[in-house]
Amino acid sequence: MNKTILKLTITIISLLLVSGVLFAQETLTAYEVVKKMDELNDGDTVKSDTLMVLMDSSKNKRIRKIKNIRKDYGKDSKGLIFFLSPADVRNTTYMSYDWDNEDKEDDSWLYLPALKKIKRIASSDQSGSFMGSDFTYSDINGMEIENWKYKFRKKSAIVNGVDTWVVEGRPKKEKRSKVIDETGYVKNNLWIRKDNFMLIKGKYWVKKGKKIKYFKADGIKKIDNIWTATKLSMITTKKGKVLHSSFLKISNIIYNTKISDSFFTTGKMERGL
Amino acid sequence: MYDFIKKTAVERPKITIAFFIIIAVLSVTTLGGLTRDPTPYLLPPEHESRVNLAKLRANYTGANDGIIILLEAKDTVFKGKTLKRVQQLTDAFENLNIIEPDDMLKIKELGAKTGGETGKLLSLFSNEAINEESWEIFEEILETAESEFPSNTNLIKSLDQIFIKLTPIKEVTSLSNTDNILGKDGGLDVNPVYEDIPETREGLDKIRKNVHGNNLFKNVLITSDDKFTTIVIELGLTDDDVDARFLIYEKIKRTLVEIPGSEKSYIAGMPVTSAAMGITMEEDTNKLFPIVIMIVIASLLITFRSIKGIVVPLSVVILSLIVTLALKAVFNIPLNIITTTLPVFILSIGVADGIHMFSEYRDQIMKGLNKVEAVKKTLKHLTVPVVMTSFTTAAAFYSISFTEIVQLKHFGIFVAVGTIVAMFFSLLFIPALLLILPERMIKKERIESKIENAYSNVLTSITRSITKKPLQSAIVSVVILAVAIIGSSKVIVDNNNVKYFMDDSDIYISADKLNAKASGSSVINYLVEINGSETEPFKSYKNLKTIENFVAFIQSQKYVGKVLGLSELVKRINLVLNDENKIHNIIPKPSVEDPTGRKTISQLLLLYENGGGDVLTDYTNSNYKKLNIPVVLQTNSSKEMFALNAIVKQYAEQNLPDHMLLSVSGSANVAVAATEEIVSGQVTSLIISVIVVLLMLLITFQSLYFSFIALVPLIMTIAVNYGIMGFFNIPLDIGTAVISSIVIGIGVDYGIHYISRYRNNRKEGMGFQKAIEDTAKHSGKAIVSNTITVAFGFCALMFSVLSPLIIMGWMICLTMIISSVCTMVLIPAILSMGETSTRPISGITGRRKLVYQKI
Repeated sequence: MNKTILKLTITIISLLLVSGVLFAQETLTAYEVVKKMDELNDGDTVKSDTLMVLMDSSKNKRIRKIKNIRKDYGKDSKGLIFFLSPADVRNTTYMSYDWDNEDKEDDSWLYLPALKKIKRIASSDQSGSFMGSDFTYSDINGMEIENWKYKFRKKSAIVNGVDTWVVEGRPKKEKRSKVIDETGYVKNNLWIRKDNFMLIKGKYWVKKGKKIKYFKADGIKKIDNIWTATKLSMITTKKGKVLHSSFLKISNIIYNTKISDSFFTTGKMERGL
Repeated sequence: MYDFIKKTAVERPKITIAFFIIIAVLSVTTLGGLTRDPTPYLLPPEHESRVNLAKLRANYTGANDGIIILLEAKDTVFKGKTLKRVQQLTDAFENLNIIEPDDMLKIKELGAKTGGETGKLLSLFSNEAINEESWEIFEEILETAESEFPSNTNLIKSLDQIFIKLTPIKEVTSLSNTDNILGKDGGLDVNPVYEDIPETREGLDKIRKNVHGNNLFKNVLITSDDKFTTIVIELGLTDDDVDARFLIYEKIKRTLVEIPGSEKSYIAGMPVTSAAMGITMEEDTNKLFPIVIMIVIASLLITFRSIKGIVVPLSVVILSLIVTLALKAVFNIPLNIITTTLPVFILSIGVADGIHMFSEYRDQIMKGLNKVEAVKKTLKHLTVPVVMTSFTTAAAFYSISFTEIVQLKHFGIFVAVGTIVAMFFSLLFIPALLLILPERMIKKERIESKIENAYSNVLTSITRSITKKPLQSAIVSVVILAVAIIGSSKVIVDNNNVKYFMDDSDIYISADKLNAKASGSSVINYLVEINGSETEPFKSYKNLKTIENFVAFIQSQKYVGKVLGLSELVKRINLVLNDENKIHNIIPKPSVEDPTGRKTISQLLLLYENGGGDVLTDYTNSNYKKLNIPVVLQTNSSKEMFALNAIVKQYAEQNLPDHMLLSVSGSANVAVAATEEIVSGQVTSLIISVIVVLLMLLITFQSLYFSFIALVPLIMTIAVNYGIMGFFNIPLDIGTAVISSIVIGIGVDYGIHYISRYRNNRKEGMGFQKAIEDTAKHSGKAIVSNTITVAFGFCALMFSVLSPLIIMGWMICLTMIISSVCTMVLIPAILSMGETSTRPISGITGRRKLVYQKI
């Protein structure tokens, strides 16, 4: 009897919770949806390995393996990328400090082991390719959502069996040229899952060359209680023809382990993993 | 043939005319489908050089031919106003679209017709003005249509076409949007050359210093005197999208006016050249057609001095032309730079038959025959010669089509077709027309006789002096031939798209400026491939060093404006990585830890890629086994490109290791291949036309002796033609390539007329001298009037705005005159020599007596 009551109580509570969530979801604005997506828990630190497959229009493949380490400092974050393969670029390391303050230019360094040189790279441009892939730095680091205005294109669209909102984003009028300079994009469509606010599909309009890029997130699972996409792809097209595509497979993901601050120094870059 | 004509044209003239008029009317209705092809390529897409070009474009980015806008500042481009203008122009070009009001109407119609979500979106779109965001909206409409009406291919196709017009520009490269990697303060700075325009001199000087510091920009984005900068527009259009190219050209010109500045601007590059060619061809057709008609009318007026004498031959040639063009339209073969001249050729050549027919008919009428009898007699006399001469002419022109050069192929085929069509019209339509038209007796016989007598006297006396001293004529001819052969050896083969235009045209001036002041506009690509098992071989020092030397060698050659490539990029990255210390402007040397140097090079390239560099794929394929070395040339002449190719190939053979293979591609290489093709085509068509003509002569004359005699003036004329080209530096190009076949095709008719008449005369029992003088008098007259008509007709080409056509015009005019002179001098001389050696002839007094009696 007690068990039944307990079950019932749980059911009622969960129903209330679900309906509460649903209710809340129905009243969210497009901006709020994107904001929730932006604020998703991605751990305070993360370590992972990434297999990058880059494919040109004639389907020639290049494969790169990298190790990522990231640590958040409030809204700022620091990251390290070690190249594992191909052998020629092994131990090449990229480090970046991403500042939340958008007036402050992000810092980045590259260590080239063959030359034993660390170079600080200054560039305001986030629209450049991330490690030669179709992803840009702004794709990886996330866009400054305050520079965009969002509206719903569709309140519901089923993607891979899950319900999503389809949000259309355009740069705010006064920020347009800044946004284009930084991201290269003039417009996007985002498919955001209703149950967990994950971005699982995206379409980006690239100003340069009037190209269209398609993003997809797959292999979504909870790791250490954090929703994680383990397969990402970005395909660049022009007039419906694929120009180049990139597939990222992320593995060995560990969230919230302790990572020392001394990791994110040029000394660590030189010493390697 | 004759019987057929008698049964149709003579017995049922009205039906015959009605039949031809129906054909003509049907033909006219198809003419709207006639298209133009101002392709800059002379070779078809299947040709090896075109296939290679397509592969190049598929494998490397940035390999499309660009439109180059050269801006010339009075003193320096590093001024606030100029930099601002470059920025504004770059922006405007990036957003350039070629949507016309017609397209908006079409979108509206599609919207109304389509329905559904797509229809709604289209209607909305058609009500909005086009702006820089339109392509984003339209892209979504396209996507909506694809999911809503996946099977409606017509709709998708129409929308695709509109989308292309909305986004015709692939990439714009200028000082204002190009990233420059700078090495400073121990770090790397990857940013556009400039974003904000500095207000101080120091700021401007800094930009100047940074730009000059990058060797990759030299002579491309900036010239060493600071006066010139370029904006390069890469198009996202296929080569055959002619109308779009033209619209873009117009838009660019308009943009340069709308964003004004003190800098002079020049627009060059292959897309522009071909667009301008399209327009010029259209202007040319519109201009040449009335001119050639007027010339034909004028020569008919001089010859016949009667309305009928003009109307009959003229109507025949115009109808023939219409039918020929209709055939072109039906088989969907577009007009090109050479076939634009079809009206001139068909009218000039075709009218000759008409003149012969009408002149014979008039002679018969003047002899007192009635219409029907006169027509019958005319047909009896002329059917065979008209058929023979038409076929020889057609065969000679058809021989031109034995080439890969598309323009010449179509030209040869359609002049041949036109000649045969004109033949049918002359033989069927003229008799029918003559029978229907009322006949009045012409009463100008006496006056005409006087003029004609004087004229005949000249011809006969010339012939008499030749036959008197045939050896002299022969010696003179041999000397001329020798000189001509010397000249022929100097003939150069060349094709220069830019030189198609007059030297005061925008295209010519712009290309000239770009060649003289910057790195040029035509591009040839040298591709080096390494076979073998080595992975990413071009990342090793040894291989890349070989490429660096190769690049340096190419750069040192004449007309080479700029050579780019992986080696140059690696050098630049190495330089900036070492704080721009000049001694590091090299490919980094291997070390003990990195004995092949590939680690260093790989890491430099990774640094570049990671810094946002995006031209790597311009120079290498993804496995670093094949490199593209684009070479910008300061010339548009295929001859110079050919010469460079030869030198480069020789260098490669001697200096590149065995496992490196060199191949050549690029649009300039298509021009080189075309030049080779012109030469081999010329040889083939000459051999074929000589053989065919010889066969026809054999059939006509049934005599090897006379057939060869008929060939002599042709060979002489061709030699003189090449001699003139050699001495006057007129290159063999697609225009001049047709001349020798024209000489054979039309010139052989003269020989046929002349020898037939002579042999007939001999058969009728005349002695040599009487026979030859009678021939000179009658055939000579016909030849002269034919020459005048044809030569004058071709003079119409001199009114063209395209220089190869102008040269072709006066060259044909000249060679036709040479050809007729050769016929009337050489044939009697040879016959006379043959006569003296084989058959003794009666004394001079006897011959004189005969002549006087005749007069």
